[in-house]
Amino acid sequence: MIMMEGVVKRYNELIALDHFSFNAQDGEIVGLLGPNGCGKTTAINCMLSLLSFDSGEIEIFGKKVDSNNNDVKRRIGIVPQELAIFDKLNVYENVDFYCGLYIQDSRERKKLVEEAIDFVGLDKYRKFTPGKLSGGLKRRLNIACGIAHKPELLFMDEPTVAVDAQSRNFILEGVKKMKADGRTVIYTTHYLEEAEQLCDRMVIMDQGRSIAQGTVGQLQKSISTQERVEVGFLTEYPGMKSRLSELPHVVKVTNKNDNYLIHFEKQENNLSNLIKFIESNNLSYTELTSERSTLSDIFLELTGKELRD
Amino acid sequence: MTVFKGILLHFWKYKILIVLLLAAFFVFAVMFSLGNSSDSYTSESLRIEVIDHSSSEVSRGLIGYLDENNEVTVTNAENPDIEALEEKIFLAAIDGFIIIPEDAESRFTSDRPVVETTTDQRSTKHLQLQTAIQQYFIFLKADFDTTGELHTDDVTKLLSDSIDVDVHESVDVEAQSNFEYMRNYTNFAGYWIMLFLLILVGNIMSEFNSPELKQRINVSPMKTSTFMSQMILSQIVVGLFVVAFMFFGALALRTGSLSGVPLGKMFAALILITALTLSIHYVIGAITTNKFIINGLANFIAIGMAFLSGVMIPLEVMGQTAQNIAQYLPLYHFTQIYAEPDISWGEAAFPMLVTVLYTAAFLIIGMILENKRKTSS
Repeated sequence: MIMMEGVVKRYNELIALDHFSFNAQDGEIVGLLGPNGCGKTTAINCMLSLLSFDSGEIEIFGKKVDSNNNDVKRRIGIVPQELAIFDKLNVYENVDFYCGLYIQDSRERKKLVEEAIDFVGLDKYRKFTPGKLSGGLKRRLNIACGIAHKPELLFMDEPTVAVDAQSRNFILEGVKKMKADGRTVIYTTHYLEEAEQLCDRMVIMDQGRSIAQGTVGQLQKSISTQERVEVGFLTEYPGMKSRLSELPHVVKVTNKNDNYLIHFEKQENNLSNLIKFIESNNLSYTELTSERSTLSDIFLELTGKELRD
Repeated sequence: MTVFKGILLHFWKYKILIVLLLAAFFVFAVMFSLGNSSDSYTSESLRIEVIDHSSSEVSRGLIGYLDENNEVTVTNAENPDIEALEEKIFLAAIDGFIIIPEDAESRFTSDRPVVETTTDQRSTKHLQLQTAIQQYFIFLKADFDTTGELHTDDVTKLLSDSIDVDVHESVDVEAQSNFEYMRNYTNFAGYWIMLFLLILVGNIMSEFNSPELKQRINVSPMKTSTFMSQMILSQIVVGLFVVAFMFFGALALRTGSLSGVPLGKMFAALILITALTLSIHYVIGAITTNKFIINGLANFIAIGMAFLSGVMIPLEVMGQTAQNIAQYLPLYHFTQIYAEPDISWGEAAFPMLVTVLYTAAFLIIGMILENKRKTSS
């Protein structure tokens, strides 16, 4: 459905996209992840032909992107990062306006607008102007404006920024429903939990480059840390850090006072090995938690920095 | 027609503001109308004191003539208290006093000033008294030069008789008055249209031109040319509505008082000022989408141009420099389209052309700025 190959976009000296490649298949939710300024929005704008690019190739629905290709544009929807709604128009009028840019038949449009309003749960607020809506409801309206014409391909650029938990869940459930309807969603976010929860595949970006792509499982396998175990000891044991480092499959150990974070490269028997070590040395501990590596670990290992830096 | 309808829907959302602005315009227009009456001239009865040292036929004749229409008090005091009389004028107890010297008759026959008058020269009554005295002596002298005798009673009778005079003027006074009113009305309407459209269209279009909304529209299959044509069409509809409201409002306000008014040119001028305003708005819209800046620029341009173009204050009372500057402003040429009651289409063509050229110039500037903005983004 989307093929982006070696795209370069420069703003004078700054390289916003550096030979960026990306693809998405029908019915997939693909996450574009990365810190602010990593090039996510630039990549989307190039795909939408809102921005020209210096080199590379982009195809959508098997056709090269072109700002005059209305057949392709008709099948695409966008939920921009910034709220793009009219302050003076009410909920219904806003959705109707944007749907009208795609659908000329008034009867069909009316039906689609009603469905979009229902879909985002704004039925009770249809006569409300955006000024009377909360931040979360405005975000939902922003989404309704982008999906009313039932696009096959939807770009959602950080749709959950600055929304309350209830609206966030509503939005995430909505995205899942769209996937169930067979639509393809390109979803940019810097919230890792969202990406893990929603996306079939992820592309991790940094400084305009794609540094890793794949499912969560594939990405986890691509880094050395597979499991992290956190253990807190009751008292301070001298030389504990180096002793823990000698356990099988340990990649590294960090500590803060008596709390140790142990990174393992494999997931088999790590926890039982650690418990055996504790028991054999008669150590007392307060808590012991194990978790698989997260996207945050993946990003940290691949780029050497936190995702939210 | 989504964009067309969307923009008109926005105007509808501003309906209260639109009604208020149009109502305010008509309140001003009605006020102008009430204050616009035909010129009339009246003369009042004067209170005059006469100190007659002459007691001659000339003085008696003058006193008799003045007494016909005024309140005249006569004394022959040897040494009148001049300061007291001046005080009376100052206190408005009398309108003036006349001193007729002892040798009045010989002065009259030898063509020297006969009487001395004192009045408040700031008052129009000063002119009225001077005119009455001059009239009397001109007619008396004419009679004296012809007959060699003084016939004061005949002169007084002659001056007192009224006659009907039909004045055949080159200008129809009523038509001129109608034209003056409508010219001021159209000047004011032009200024109002500028302010109204710059503020209202500016505020509405600032939303449509905001980058976030523009992005959504650009992503849609709607062509830029379709978007632009619908946007321009909606603005023209609103502009025509405002022009029609003001023009036909004037016709309703002045029913029966429209002879001598070049209505066609005034209507054309209002259409052209609307087009010019929309083109100025296009430039402003290409510079900024900030509503505060738009409102500030709208006021600055409309008031500044109206002031310098003679719309608010007649250019004649302004300095030469201001008059020179005015000729370079489009609003000045707007006023020249209907500058005379009998202006022909041929004469109006030049200022119309200048206004059209200004409109085109602003559109080109707007397109250049718009393209620059697109390129930079």
